[in-house]
Amino acid sequence: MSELDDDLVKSFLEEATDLLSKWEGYCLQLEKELTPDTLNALFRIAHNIKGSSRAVGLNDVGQFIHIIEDVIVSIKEGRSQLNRKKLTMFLDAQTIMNEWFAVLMLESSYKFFPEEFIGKYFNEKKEFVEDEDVSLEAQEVSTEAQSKPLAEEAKVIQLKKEVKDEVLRVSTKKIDGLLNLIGELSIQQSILENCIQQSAVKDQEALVQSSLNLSRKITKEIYSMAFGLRMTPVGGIFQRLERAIKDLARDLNKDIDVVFHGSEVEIEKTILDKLIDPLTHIVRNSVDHGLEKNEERAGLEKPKKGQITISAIKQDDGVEIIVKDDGRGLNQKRILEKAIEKNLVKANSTMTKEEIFSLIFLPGFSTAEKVTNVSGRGVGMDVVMKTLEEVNGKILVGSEEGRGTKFKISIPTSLSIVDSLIVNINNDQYVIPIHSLEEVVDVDPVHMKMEDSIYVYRGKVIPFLHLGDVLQDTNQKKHHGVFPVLVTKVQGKRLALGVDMVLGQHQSVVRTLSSYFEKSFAVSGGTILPSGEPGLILNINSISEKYFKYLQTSKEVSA
Amino acid sequence: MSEVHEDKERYLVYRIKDELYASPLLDFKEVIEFIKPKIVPNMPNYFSGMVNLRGLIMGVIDLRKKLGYQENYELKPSMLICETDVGPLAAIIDKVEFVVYFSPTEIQDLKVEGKVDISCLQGFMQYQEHLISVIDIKKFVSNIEKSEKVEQEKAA
Repeated sequence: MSELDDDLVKSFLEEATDLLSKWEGYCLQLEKELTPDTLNALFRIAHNIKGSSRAVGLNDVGQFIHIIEDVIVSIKEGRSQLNRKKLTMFLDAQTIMNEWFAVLMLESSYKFFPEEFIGKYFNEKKEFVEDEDVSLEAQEVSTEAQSKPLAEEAKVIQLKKEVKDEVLRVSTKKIDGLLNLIGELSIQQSILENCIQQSAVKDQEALVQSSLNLSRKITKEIYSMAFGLRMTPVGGIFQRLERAIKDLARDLNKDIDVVFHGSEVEIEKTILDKLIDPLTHIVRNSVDHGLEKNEERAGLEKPKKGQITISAIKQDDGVEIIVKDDGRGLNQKRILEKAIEKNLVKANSTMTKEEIFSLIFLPGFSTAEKVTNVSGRGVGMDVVMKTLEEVNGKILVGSEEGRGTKFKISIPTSLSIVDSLIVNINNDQYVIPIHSLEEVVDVDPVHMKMEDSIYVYRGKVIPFLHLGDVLQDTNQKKHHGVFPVLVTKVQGKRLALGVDMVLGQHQSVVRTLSSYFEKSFAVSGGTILPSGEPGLILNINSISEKYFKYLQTSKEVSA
Repeated sequence: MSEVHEDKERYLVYRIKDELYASPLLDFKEVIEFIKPKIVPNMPNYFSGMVNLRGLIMGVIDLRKKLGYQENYELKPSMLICETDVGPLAAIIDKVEFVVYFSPTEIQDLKVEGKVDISCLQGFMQYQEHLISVIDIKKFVSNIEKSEKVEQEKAA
């Protein structure tokens, strides 16, 4: 066999992965309604992948998709009917090819042929095997077959981490817009140059001024547009969520409607990728635990079909994603009981409804009564929360018993710009992201207790730490009069952080720092301050976590 | 350029106090005037902080402190910028002296316990009346230990 051209294979794979996601969409459409158009579209994708895979020398892929294509043709020509099994096969084929392509992306010489898949749906002559009623046995096979690729997936993900450069697909419209602006900018520049060359700046002062103004405006637009290049619509992951919901609903014999709003809202690709796992977990939870069986719903005066609504809403400071179901809702009493049983809260503690709901995000909390292989995948809500925190996201849960549950996730649209406070600590300026703070208060030293280690905040005592002590050796007590304190909340625990002065608010452009800065645990990134000096963005989470750990150990020592 | 230098490489010779050091010229991206670094907390004492070089934030290593020289530093030192495995770093030295063509094979491979970490000391070159220590600058500056007192700090 000839040597494969790596680049060619890569560009094929990129294209094919894109096609496969369309494939998934068409399959989901077919599930709702069989139209010749959709079927044709599916056929075209199969044919396209077959053609180009052979062209780049991936004959295995071509051979595989050819078998699938035959089935589509037979439906098209009316020789067979589209049924549930065929649809499942199409979707399974998509899953397998996706994994297959992901491995090929890293290792273009990877040899693999999905024998197992073929064996499951086809006979030796590669003809599709029909059986109308899916027996239990067959279903078991299907879960087994699904669990196997998961192990492979883990391998793939691990491999993926090693690839540093990521390829983005960007719409030509965005690129054209950017090029246009750059063109305009260079026109303004040549006007300026011309003015100077003719040494007529004086006479043309007005022209120079307007040209400068225009350049400034264009530069600003270029900047925001270049930022937009990294943005992708959330619709891309909605489809994956629909697939996850439909797959699980089929397994559990539930009939579920999925409604999407705001799929055109854009988020930075890196953040969007991080959202997939948490959202999948949440919707699977909804399907498994939240929504009742169809028969049960009929008795509850609810529409027979359960409904999951996923909406993305653009907000001033980011994007809000809301996942709502009309299922049975969270059971306050049971959550509290479980939390007490697991020693997460004290018995007979009084808590508000919201506080009780937020218990489900604590590590070690799980209403394990009904761990199924669906939601018992070892990922708890605490992991969901952690993952979201990595991209500066927050999650809130609301629920009404018998009416449904609602998860509200707020995330920034971009990790490249953060709203932050510039503060003065020991005569140096530091940057603190606003999202990590709950409140900024002016504190009278009267409210400080226990040698300034405790601050009385609205009648509650919370530990106090001066950031100056974290950042430098200094340990002087120097609270003359009122000083600002930043209140933060990490894993449900509040901490008051003292600074010398709050200088103002700033939209900081985040610069990734070289790896050696990691030695300084307090820092999460760098930025250029308005003064042109470099500034450090403090990692409030890691500072607080370390401090709580320190408090914990010192308590144990003194006990 | 000319045949004379065929087997030779260029070295940048710089001075700290009265001693001369040399490193391969191509290990440096540029030499800049001293910019006052901004403090980065919880780093070893020879890590002077960071500077903004045309929009790029980079750490600054005070080579004089790292090599164990005591106070009384040159008031107008220079900074050598090098691209290391861990990212760009600026190294503070007293003065850039000159560039020499020198054959790497003529570097005397003598390892002595001294100010420079032995694994970064490539040897010595005898050039005119000078004895110059040759150091692997990239390796030397990028070796940044964790500040030992970080852990206890918050006890305060």
